[in-house]
Amino acid sequence: MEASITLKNISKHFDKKYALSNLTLGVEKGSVFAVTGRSGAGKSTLLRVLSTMMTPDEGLLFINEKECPGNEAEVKRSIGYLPDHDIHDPWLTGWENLQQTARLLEIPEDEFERRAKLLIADYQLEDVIHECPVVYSKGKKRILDIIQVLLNDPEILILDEPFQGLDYYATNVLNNYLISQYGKKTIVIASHEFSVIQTFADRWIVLHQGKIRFDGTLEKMASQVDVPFIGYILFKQPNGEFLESIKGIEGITEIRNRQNTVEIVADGFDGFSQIMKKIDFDTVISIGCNAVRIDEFINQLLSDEGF
Amino acid sequence: MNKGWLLVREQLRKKPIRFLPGIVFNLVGTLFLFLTFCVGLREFLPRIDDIGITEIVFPGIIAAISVIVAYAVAVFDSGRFVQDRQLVDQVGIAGLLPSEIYLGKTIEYWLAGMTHAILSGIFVLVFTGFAIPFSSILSLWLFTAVGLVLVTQIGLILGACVADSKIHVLTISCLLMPLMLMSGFLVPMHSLHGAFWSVFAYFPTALIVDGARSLAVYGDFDYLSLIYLVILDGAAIWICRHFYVRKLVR
Repeated sequence: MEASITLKNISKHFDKKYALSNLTLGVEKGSVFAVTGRSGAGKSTLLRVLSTMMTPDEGLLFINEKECPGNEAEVKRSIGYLPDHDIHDPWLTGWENLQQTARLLEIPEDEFERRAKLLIADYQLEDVIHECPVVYSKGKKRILDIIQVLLNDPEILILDEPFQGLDYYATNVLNNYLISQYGKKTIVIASHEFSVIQTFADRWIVLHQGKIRFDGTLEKMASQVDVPFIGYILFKQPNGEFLESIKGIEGITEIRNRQNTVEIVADGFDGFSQIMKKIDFDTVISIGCNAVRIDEFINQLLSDEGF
Repeated sequence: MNKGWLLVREQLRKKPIRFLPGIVFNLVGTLFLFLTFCVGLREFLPRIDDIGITEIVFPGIIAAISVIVAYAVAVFDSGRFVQDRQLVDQVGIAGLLPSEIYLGKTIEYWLAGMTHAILSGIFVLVFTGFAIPFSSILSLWLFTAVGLVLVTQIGLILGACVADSKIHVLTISCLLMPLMLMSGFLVPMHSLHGAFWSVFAYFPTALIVDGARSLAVYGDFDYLSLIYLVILDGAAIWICRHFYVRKLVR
């Protein structure tokens, strides 16, 4: 597949401390690329470099096969970058902020109005759009920034903690949008909302101290990680009968009874599938499981490497 | 203990080097103000008698207003824009390159100063009952236009590189104001003593006011001053652009 973004030996340091150290990677066109790691790992610096907002100290960066620095003017129009901080003028109204961005992006007025109104309606920002963001909640400020980034319908989306501060409704709208763009846009996303991004990310990297510690798919992650499978069953009311019936099933290492929820720690899917056979589904509200604990994986990966 | 005092104590705990710019600005500002109104160092004689004609004041008024406005707008807006990353990033995500942002901001600040130069020029014309020829005001705007490029560059780079807004205020009150007074705004440059004259005559503010005055009041076109000002503009643009762009991509 064609590479949308290519990094070759990219390094960036601040006051002699490396934020990124000799990174080489390629992001395929139309793929969703998740960047994870602990705070201070270099995620935001990497995304800033990818967005061409920051120049690396060493190495080469190619966006759509165009080298940067050198072709930023051409490349920038195809990138939508959402940093982890606010990107609006707090003393302009939400609408004026959008208008300003649209004018700088040279979006025709009618096209801007159509797109902006659609996005505002999608994210339900109508009630505050003509007020200054100083009176917005944290979530609404984030929505305004997201709309600014999506105004241009960019080919490459670089999103740094996009779900930060969003309520469940806006999270769903953004999540659905990102899923709908799968294969159409190249998406690079840094987020700690693993349960959300694991539904659409097809490649992951784990950064630590500016270096890539893991690069692969969720499947590769699952095969490397030695963390148990955890299943959750939410009953309509505490179900002692069910707890008795699952005792002694092979592959179950722990059963945690928490009011209406039963948490089952198993060696793998096999053990949990045995449990499923014992469930009376009329008594159940929901069933869920967390096949890959990405946070556990990162912890294990880093501890294995001596961090 | 009063919490307000704790705040003062935290300010005083800062490294002594942070107080240095304030002390330097105060020293320079006081010296300039002294020399504006007195004949020379250790000679506490007022120089107000040296002013022979009243017309010399009007170019100073226009230049002073435009220079102070252009500088103040540049230093405060540049400080807010660059130090508070959300504004510069908002423009950055809209596809503007750092060099384009630099150009846009330079023009914005220059326009702010020039608008005030035009406005105060018109007002001076009105106040004097159109006693001053319009050509004099036009020639004044020419020098102001060239000089404001330099002024906006200094404000722009200081705002971008120094985060502390107290320093921004200090540069206006203790450096720019005395520099304006020292520029011949109130006292003609030639009334200064030889050594001071030869130094201060090459200060950008003096070049704007004195150059403009020569043309507007006496009809002498000081080509050399204008060329010197253009060279200073070029050097300032070259240096400021480099550091401003570097600041944005860091």
